[in-house]
Amino acid sequence: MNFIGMDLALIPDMVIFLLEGNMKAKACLAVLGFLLLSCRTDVVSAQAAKRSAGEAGPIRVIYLEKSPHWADRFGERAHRDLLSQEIVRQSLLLAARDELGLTTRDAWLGDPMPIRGDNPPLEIEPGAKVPSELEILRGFPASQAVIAHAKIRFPYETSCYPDVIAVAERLSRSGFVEVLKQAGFRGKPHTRQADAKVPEEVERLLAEMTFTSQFQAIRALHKATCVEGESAGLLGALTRGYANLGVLTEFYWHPAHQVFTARALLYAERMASQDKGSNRARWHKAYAFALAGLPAAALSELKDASDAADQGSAAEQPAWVDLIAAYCRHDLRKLDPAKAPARHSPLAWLLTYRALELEKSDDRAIEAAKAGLREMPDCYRLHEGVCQFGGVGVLHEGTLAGLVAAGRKLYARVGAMPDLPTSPDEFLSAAEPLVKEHPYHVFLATHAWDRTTQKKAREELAKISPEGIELQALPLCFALADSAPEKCIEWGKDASRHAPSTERNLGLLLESYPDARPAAAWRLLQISPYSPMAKFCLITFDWKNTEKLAAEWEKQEVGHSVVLSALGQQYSKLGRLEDAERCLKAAIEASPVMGHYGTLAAFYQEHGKMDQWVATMEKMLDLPDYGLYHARIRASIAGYYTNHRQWQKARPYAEGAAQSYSAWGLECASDCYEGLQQWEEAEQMLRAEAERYRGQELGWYYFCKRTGRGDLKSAGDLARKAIESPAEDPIAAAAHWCLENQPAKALPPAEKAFAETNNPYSGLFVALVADEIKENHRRDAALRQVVTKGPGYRGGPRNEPRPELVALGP
Amino acid sequence: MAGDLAGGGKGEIDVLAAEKAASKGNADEQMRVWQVLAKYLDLHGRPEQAIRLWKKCIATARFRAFPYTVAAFELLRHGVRLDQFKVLLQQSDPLAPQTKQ
Repeated sequence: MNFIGMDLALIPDMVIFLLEGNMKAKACLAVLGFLLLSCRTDVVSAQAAKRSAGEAGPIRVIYLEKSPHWADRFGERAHRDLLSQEIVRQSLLLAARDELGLTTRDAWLGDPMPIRGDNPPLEIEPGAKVPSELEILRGFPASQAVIAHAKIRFPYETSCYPDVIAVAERLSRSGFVEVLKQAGFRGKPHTRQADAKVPEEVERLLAEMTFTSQFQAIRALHKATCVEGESAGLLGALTRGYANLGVLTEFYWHPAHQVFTARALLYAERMASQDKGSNRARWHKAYAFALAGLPAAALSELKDASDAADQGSAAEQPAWVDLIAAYCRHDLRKLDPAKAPARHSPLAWLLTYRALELEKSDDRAIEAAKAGLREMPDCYRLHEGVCQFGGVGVLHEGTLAGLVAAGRKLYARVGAMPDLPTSPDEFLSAAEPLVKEHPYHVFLATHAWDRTTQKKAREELAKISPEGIELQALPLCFALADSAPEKCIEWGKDASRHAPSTERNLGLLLESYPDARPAAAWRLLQISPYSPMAKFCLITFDWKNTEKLAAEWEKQEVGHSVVLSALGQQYSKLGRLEDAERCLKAAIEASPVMGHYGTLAAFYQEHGKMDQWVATMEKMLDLPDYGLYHARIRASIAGYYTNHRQWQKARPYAEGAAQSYSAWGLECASDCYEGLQQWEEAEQMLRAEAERYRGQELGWYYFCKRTGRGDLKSAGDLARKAIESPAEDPIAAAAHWCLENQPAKALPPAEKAFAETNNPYSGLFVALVADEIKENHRRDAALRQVVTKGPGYRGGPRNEPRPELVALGP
Repeated sequence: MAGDLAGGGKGEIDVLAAEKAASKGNADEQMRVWQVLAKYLDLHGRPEQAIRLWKKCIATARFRAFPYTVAAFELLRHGVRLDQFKVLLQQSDPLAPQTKQ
C-alpha cells in the first residue's frame, strides 16, 4: 500500500496552519515533530523503491501522477471537483493494490514520481472531448501517451456521488485491472478470507481520533489484508480508518484528505460488493458517506439497514451506528459524548464539534472542541476548531495548545509505530527541503508588519500556481485581493470549481461566495436534509421560496437555534416584530449563546428599544467569554452613552472595556475620560495603547498636541520612531511634522501619500502645507490633481468616493 | 479654493454654501471639510471664520479623528484651550444621526 508519502505532503501545510497563529517559537516545535514523522515514513518509502528497483521480473510498483487537467476538461460541468477526481484516481490504485497486489505510489500524497527508467508513471484524465471517456496515460512528462480508454457513466447531478462510487469501484475490479495488465503489470488479487478479524489493537487505534492513530491502524490493516487475506471485517475497518483520516486532515491547505475520503468510499463499496445485501456493508457505507459530508446518502443506507433488520437480518449493529445517524440528522442530543457507547466518545466529540462547526455555532463549537481536547489532547482537528472560532482570549492559548500537544505526544506516538526506520538524520535531510521550499511559505511574509516585506511577499505569492487549491485555502487569495486582484479571482474560481458538493464545502461556498446563494443552499438541503445552515441560508437569501415552509420549520427546528434565529431576522426585516421577537427568544432558549443574544440585541437596537438593548447586552456579560466579547459589549454600551454625551454613565462600561487592554478598549476609555476632561486618565489610556500596540503610537502624541497636556516629549519620541519605520504610511509623517509646526518637512511625505493614493484629503493637505510655506507652484499642482484625480478615489471603511472634498479644490 | 487663489487669495469663500454642500457627505467627511476650509481661511486672513469651523469640529467630540486633533491644535495656537468646551461636550453631536434614547 502507499500511505507513506502522506506526511511529506502534509507537513508544509501544517506548518502554514500553525504559523498562521503568529506563534513562531511554538511552531518550531511542531515542525520538528512533523519532520520526524515524515522523515521516518519517507525512509520506508525509499527502501521500498530501492527493493522494487533491484528486483528482477515483473514491475511491482505503480506510480500515479496527479490529474492536472481534470477540472479544466470538465469545465463548468458536474464532477469537475476533487472528490470526483479522487474517486476515479483511487479506483485505479485499488485495482493495482487489491486486485494485483502491487505497491502503489500517489503523487497527490507527495510520493516522488520517477523521471526515467522502465516504470513510467500513469495518469488518468477525462477525455478531451467527452470527459466521461477517461484516458489512461503512461510515460514521463515529455513522452506521455494514451495507453487505454475507459468509459465511466457520470450522473448528471453532483449529488449522485453514490452512483459514481459504484461505477468506479466496479472498474477497480474489472476494467482498470485489464488496463493495468495490458500495460504489463502482473499480480494476483488478495485471497478472500471471510473470517479474517480486525485485531483488537487496530480497533483501539480506530477509536482514537488522532491522525497518527488512524495512520497506524490503516498500515496494520493493509498489512493484515496482504498476509491473512481480505475480509469484510478488514474492509470495514479500512473504510472507517480512511474516513476518519479524511476528516482529521480536511482543514489543511492540501487535497490529501480527498484521497482518504475517496478511499473510504471505495472500500465501503468494495465491502458491499463482496458482502452483498448485508447490513454490515450498509452501516459502513453510511459511515463513509456521513464523514464525507453526504448525510442523505448515509441516511438512505441506514434506512435500508433498518428495513432489512425488521425483516430478520441478524447482523449485530456496531456501537457507532447510532452516533452516525444522529450526526446525519444534526441531532446533538443523541450525539452526547457523555452517553456514547464505550470507546466511542472520541468519535462523538469529533462529530459533535463538526456538526456545530457546520452550523457556524461559534460558542458551542469552541465548548465542544475544548471539551473534546480534554479527552484527546492531540486531536489537531479540534485544535484547529478552537483557533477557527476563538477570539483573542481563546487564541492566545489555542494557537499554542496544538503545538504543545504535538511536542508532547507526537514523538511517542511515532516511536510506537512498528516498522518505521529510526535514523533521524536521514529523515531530516529528506524532509527539511519540503518545508523550506513549500510553495506557500511566502504567504507567511504577506502578514509581515513591514510594508516593503509585505509587498514583496505578495508579488512572490502571485507568481506561484497553487495545485488543487480548495476553499479552506481562500486566505491565499485574500492576500492578493489588493495587489493582484486578477489572481485572487482566478484562484477563488479554481477553489470553487474544485469543491465537491459535500456538506462542509457547500457551507464554505455559501460563506464566501454570495453569488452561489441560494442555489448552493438548495443543493445543501438536498444532500443534507437536516442541515440547519441550508435552512438558515434559504430563509435569509430565498425567502420567496421558503416562506411557505417557515411555520413548519419553526415547529420542527426547536433544537436548531440558527434556523430560529434566521426566521427572527427575516420577520424583523418584514416588520413582523412580534414574530421576530418570539423566534429570536426561542433561539436563545434553544441555545443561550452570545450570537443569539447579540442578534436579539441588534433587533432591539434597530427598532429603537434601547432599554431592552442595554438589558440584553448586559445579560451577555453573564455568558462564558471565549474571546474579548465581554469587553466588546462594554465598549458598545459605553459607546452608546458617549454618543449621547452621558460620559458618567459610560464610564464604568468604558473602564471595563479597557480592562481587556485591547487597543479599542483603551481608546473607548480614553474617549470617555476626554469627554469628562479627566486629562490624566485619558492620557494614561492612550499612552498604554501607544506603548503596547505597533501602529498605534501616534494616538498618544496627538492627544498631547490637541490638549496641550501630557508627556509630550515621550509621546513625541515614540511618534518619531514610528514615522521613521517603513511600515508607516507617509501621511502619518506629514501629520506629525504639521503638528510640529514644520510644514516644510511635512510637504514631501504628504506629496508621496497623495501620489500613492490620489486621496483628495491628502491632496488638500498638500495644498495647504504648500500654501503655508509659499510653495505656490506645488500648491496649485496639488489642487489641480485633486480635481482631476480625486473623483476616482475610493476609500474609507465603505470604499466611498469623496466628492465633498474634491469640491473644495476648484 | 483655486478660484479664490486666482482672485488674489483673500479668503473670500462662501463658507455657508461650502458647509451646506459638505453636509451631503458623511460625518467624517464633513469634519474634514470644516478642518480644511478652516485652515485655508486662517492662512488667508479669516481667523474668526476659521475658529468657528474648528469649534464645530470640537463639538463633534470625535476626539481621535485626525481633523479633531488638527482643529484642537489650531485652536490652541489661537489661545483657545479644550478646557473651555466642557459645556459644549454635554451637548449633542451635530454630526450624529438622531438616535432614540
